[in-house]
Amino acid sequence: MSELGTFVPDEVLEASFKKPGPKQYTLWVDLEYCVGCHACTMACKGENNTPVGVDYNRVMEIEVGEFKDSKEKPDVRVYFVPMPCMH
Amino acid sequence: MNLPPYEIGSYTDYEYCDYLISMGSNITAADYPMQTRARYLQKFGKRLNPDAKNFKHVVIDPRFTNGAAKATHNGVGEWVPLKPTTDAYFMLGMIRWMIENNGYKREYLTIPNEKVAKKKGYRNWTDMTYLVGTTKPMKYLTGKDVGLGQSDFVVLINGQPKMFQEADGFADLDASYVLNGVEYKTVFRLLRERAQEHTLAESEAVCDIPAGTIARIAQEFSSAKHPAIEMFRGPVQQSNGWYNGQALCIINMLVDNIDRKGGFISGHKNYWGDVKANNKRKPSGVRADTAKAAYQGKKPTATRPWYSGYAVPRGVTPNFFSNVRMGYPYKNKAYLNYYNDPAYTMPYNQETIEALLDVKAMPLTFSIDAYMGETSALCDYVLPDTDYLERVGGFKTYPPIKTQVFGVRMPVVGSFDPKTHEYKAIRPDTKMGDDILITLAKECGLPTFGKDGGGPGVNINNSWEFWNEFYSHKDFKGGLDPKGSLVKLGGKFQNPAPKYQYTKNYSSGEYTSFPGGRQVRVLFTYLEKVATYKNAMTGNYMDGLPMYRTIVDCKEQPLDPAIYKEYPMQLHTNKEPFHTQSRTMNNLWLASIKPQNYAEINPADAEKLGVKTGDWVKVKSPSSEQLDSDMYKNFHKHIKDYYPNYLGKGWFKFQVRATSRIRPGLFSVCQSYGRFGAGSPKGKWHMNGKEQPSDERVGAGFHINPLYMADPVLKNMVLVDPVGGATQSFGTPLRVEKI
Ligand code: SF4
Repeated sequence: MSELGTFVPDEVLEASFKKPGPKQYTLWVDLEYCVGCHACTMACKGENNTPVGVDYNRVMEIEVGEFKDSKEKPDVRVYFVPMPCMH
Repeated sequence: MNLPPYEIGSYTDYEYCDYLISMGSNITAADYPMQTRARYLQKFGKRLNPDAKNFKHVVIDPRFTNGAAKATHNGVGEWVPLKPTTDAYFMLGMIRWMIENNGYKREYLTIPNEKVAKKKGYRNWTDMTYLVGTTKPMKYLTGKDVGLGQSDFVVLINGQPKMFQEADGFADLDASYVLNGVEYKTVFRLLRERAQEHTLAESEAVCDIPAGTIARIAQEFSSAKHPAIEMFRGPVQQSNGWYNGQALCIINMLVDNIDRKGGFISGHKNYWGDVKANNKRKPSGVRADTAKAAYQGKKPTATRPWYSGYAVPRGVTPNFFSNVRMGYPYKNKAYLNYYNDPAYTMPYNQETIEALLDVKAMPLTFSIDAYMGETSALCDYVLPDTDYLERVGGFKTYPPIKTQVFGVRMPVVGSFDPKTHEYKAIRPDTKMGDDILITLAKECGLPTFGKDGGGPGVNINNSWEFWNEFYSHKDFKGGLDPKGSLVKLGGKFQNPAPKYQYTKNYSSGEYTSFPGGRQVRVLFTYLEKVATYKNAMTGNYMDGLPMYRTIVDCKEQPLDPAIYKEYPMQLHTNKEPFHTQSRTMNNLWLASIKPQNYAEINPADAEKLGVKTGDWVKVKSPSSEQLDSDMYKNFHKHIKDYYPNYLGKGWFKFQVRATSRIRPGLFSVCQSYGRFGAGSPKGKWHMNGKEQPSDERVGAGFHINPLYMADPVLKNMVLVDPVGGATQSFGTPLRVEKI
């Protein structure tokens, strides 16, 4: 199963810092750290004071794999993907 | 007992652990302190740990928790989807494998006393070599029994009995001794024999996990450098909870990791203050929940359970409400609820609701509460408490913090009267909980409150005065002086540098230093105080070692197997990281993250039932039909308001969601939804004759508590651990049908 957590290798990140010219900033969230607590959604709400039902930041919970037979070792993964709007 | 209390006592030292088993512990999404532990695990355990590369996290849980998601994220950790209530089989299976395959620290377990421990470079030792009689009540053999002298324990040295304190070297581990026709066995032998009552294959069949799992995990665990197995409420909140907790501690003892760097640690001793008064009153008499006492009645057995003061450190809430309804052991006159919502949170909450609605059982009720909840709504008087930002107080933290800490809490809003230090909250109709209690105490004329309450010249009229005095003694000085370091820093903190966390004084390896705590100690495997306590319902002595058990009733009998046939699914609950159980659904921000809950079931069960996500099912438990009986006639009048999904005859309807995060056979419901108080329109409530506002978003979703199974003997109380007093929080057999 491919690991979603490794899609920005460190070398790529380091190399991008060294590039000359204007910088394009991105927000990099290490998915291995994210425990899916949704606190970022709440922090964003507090900061931007959005009404209930409007969230600029959301956290997706992605379920991969299927587990149906208890006699087999389960092969399930869940990934938490915070999706800030980058504002 | 020298093992820490089984509930929130000990965790793993994640920083140096390399093999962690979390058993029924929803790490990263629940448990105290949730954020601290999440950070310790993710950062210190998996990133900064010198063994980070080899760190394996095994999550044993019927649900694929957020912690399991993190454990498996790197492809190393694993999820073991244990069947609820079968923890004892898994753990005793592990113990069996470890004993039979040399997976334990032999030298450590053969240390009989402090002297030998010191000589060999250990800080603690165990009772594994101590002899215990095999006739009930099974007690430790004493020096007097053998005619050797004064000694609490006797060990065998090359087959010869010796008082434990006199041994100069290692004692016999797996041995027995006959005295006057009675056989005495070492604790280790008793444990081995107990563990060998079932084979690993039998255990795996009960746990419903793939064959070979227990042996594999036990092998990996016992060969790891710094293994630890930790728990939260999963293993202990069950009718076999006490023994499960004990089994877990024993597994840690077998690998000598208790108090060790990278091991199973009970953390620091917190700083502590004092309010000096020499005329403090203590509670006396029998408690209304018949806990913390031995049965005192005249008949050989009791009609209601009693709970050992040794094994039940707090109380048994469900027993309180059932006792109150029966007037056992005496009638209740008044009830004061503080910061608790048992009408919502108690498994089998129909008993709580009925008691609160029954004026004969509970004629006068009060509630001090910061948030309106189901219980407060049913009380006669509500005394509104202030919120956490409007409080004076303090708190310790829990492991895995290894140095001394104490946090001081001061109000962020509101103001103090400069002279009297009386607190004025933002809302004029609220009062700090402590202030309410102190006012009540003064009105009742309790000696340690009011003028000179804390000794001559020290008045205790309000919360500020109490805490100011508390922070002036023992580990603290200066009280709540706003310019003092205590208030400015927000607490007292020891330097957390590693040299204060660990000690290198022992040649067998590093230990945590436990500043202020007791360092040298014996760890007990066998619990004589449990083995000499009688179950009041049967008159029989309890067992001093963990047992192969799943659900038992108050007489320690297993459930009738026919029940499982008729009710093949199992009740289970879960928790979201952003919700508490009963205090957050009224926060519409938090409620909006997931606006409702579902009954979560495995896709295999969804297929069997012929349903898909969003469909409705009906569900019933072996005792839910009692809701229509005379037992709950007051509640029954409101049941359609509180539970609009009640269909009658014990059936409730739920909307399902199919997910592989739940093992097959489970019916799992997040325990924060389906509110019928707290501002939900389901349970309308009135204050001073006026109906209070409500919002249907607060009441969204489903609540499962009335579906918990009642004890088949007692009939009016949820199943409760006869030893430790914990409620059977999951595993109720359920019957689920499509509608
Ligand atoms: S990214 Fe958001 S959801 Fe993930 S751990 Fe941080 S605050 Fe929690």
